Amino acid sequence: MTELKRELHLGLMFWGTGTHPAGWRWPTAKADAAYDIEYLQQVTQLVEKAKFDFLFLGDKLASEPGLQTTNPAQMSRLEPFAAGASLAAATSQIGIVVTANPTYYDPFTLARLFASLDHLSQGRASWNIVTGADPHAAANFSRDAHWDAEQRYDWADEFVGIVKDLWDSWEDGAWNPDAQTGRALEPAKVHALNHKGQHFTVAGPLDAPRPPQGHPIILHAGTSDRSRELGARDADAIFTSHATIESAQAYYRDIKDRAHKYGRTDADIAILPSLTPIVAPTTAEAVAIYDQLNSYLTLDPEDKPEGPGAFGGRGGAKNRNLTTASKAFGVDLLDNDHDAPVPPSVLVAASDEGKRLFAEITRLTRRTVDGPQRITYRDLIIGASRGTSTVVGNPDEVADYIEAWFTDGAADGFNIFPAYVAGAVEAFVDLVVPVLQARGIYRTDYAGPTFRHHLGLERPENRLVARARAAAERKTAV
Amino acid sequence: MTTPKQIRLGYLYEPHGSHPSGWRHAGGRHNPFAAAEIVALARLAEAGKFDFFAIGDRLTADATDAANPSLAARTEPFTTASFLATKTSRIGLLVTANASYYEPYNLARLTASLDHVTHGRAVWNVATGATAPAAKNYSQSEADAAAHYGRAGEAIDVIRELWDSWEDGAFIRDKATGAFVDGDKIHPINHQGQLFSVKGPLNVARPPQGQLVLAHEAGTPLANELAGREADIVLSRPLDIAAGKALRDELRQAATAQGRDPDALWVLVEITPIVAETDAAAEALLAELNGLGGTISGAVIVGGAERIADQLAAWVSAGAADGFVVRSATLPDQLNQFVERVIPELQRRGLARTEYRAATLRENLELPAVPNRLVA
Repeated sequence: MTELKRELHLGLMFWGTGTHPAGWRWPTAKADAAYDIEYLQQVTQLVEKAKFDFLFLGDKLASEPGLQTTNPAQMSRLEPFAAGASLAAATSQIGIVVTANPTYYDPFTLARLFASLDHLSQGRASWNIVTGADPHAAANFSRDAHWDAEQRYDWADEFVGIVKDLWDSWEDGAWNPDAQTGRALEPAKVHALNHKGQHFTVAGPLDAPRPPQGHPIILHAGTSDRSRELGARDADAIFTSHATIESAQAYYRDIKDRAHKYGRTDADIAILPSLTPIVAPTTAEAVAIYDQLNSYLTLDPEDKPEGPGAFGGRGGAKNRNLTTASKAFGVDLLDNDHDAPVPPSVLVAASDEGKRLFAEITRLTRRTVDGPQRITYRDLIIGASRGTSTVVGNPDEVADYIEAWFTDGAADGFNIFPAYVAGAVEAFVDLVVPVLQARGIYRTDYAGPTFRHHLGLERPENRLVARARAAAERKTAV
Repeated sequence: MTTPKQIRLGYLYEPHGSHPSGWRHAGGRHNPFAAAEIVALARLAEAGKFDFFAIGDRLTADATDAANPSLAARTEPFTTASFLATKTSRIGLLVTANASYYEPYNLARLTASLDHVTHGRAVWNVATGATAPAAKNYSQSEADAAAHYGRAGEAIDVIRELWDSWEDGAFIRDKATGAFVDGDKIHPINHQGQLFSVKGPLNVARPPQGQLVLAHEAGTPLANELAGREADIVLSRPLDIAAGKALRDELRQAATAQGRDPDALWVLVEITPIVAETDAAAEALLAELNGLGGTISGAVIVGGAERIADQLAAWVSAGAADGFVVRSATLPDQLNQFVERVIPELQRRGLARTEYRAATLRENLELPAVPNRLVA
């Protein structure tokens, strides 16, 4: 057997109004896209044509109006199973990732939702496990308090095991209707679980045959120790977010090493950092798009209380003002005109983190404190409040960035964040994907019809069958 | 001469057919795990101008009888209905969901989102889940019916408020000013009840129908009471016209007692019509099915198009039904037969619609628009 060539994986983080907090204000953006399922289907078809591995549907279990300036796309949107099944109906190959939080579900319900989505989509379902870092969700789910991480992961560990067992409660071939014999199924191949654990009592079996993928693909994100363990043990892919390639490399190596102790290889688990690509035919045009997007951001008054906003969320907790920027850069920036150029003395006085942020601003905008294009105070405000990993440039520059992370042990692929929809999706698909394909690191066609094929993963062995076999072998050995 | 009242028609999707041996018959080759085949059935029902396509649910699997798949396996209702949403355009989609086994916040999200992706065609069939085996899959101990109904009643209150927590017009989406929503039109619900405490607001915009159409299965005093209070559609299973009339009268009284217009309650009888070209052929078909083993539960009528139409009309004119939830002994054949033979006959008599009147199910069912309960 020849070794499979390593291949870049791409997903689309699907926020209908864009992942940039003001992406919905882009001239061609569809501001009501979050509820326009036909439009969401068209965008999904666009990335399916570009052979993306998956479409990612996030989730957040609480809402409040204050999110409109920080995370409008997370404030109000379609529930991910409803959206995912509707998008599956309009596509035929792309993987569909649905985020679901075990903290607020029952294992039987989630097992059947995913099994059903996998049947309906013919093997394209995926579960992104989040355990719920958002304390506000507890108040929507009759909980007195937000569970701490230990409690959430104890619960999740047992939960995930039950879900996998339920998927396996029907052996392959158990469902086989034969009109001639009058046998629709093989009762001997359908197994009760009779699970009695610390948190759950689940009799089983599931009310559906084993999913086409055996197990839908499991994804997970997180940086805590418990989260890394869950990912290393149970996940087929990991989402992550890193400001620098060095931190991405450290995380990548850590997860793969942890996976080894569960008998897994590097190829069994894909590490997929987030990336916001701002791409245009020329560098200058790309920078202009980046600046235009940021010009739509609402800045905060200097007297706005500091600290995480009520609902926080991705990149949304920091105030956009000079007070916050002063802290980030370690320099007093107050009382400066937002559009004034920043003098070199500010860079000299900046903290190490401030200097890193200056370098990051230069990387994205190509502006400096002493060159022909000057960094402004507004750039510092944006630079101090940015949340996602971003690359700005022409198609080759963006492809270089992706290739460097891919080949230098920082990523197996990326979850692409489209700053505005559909423009940023179209630009990436039209301009960057062909470059990645020409460089031979990204597929020109799907290897097979299921998400498992896209990730190059085998169909898993049935856990119940494996356990029964192991028990029988132990008996024989005695 | 008065125009006859049109009868309401729902279709109950039973993946293996309503006859226990339906799946074995030549007319029953439906694969319930092939999405394209489910889509074909829903489109067939839509071609017949049914009001809605109903997806039932069980929260358990009994896979001990090799000959009986109907208790063993099916697809899950929300994912199935959301998939069908894209492949149909006018027919209502009913999902059955059990209030005892979902968090109300999740159920509100799922139902509201289904209403969005269907553009206002969703029905929530409120199940209350009194079966013991389901509890065993959900880490719950067995509870009595009163407890299940107590939970369902409170869950409905919470869910109705969550649906209303975003007012119509809460979105501004003004690119020039950057105002995305009007915070004054988004409301926490601060529900503190016996069983649930839910702050809200929901994270989904108000459903296109405002309040989804609600369905409930009648039969017990608790069920009839809940149906009279909350349901727009009542599913009933009387075996004959006399029993149907008594039940419908009771349900209408229950609605009246709640201050509702009893004519805004559609009482639908679940029925399996065995349809063929002639009465004799239909009778032969039923005999053939019974010969394979088992019989159909619930009301059954047998005949060619005219006899079936006569009998359906008889139920309605006797005051035993406002319409029917049609079941098929075999899939896809018996649905095909009903749509090809019986629907045109009902249309000819003015008993069934020939076109959908409106975009939303609420309008097609001639139900009034519901004001937002959180708006003063």
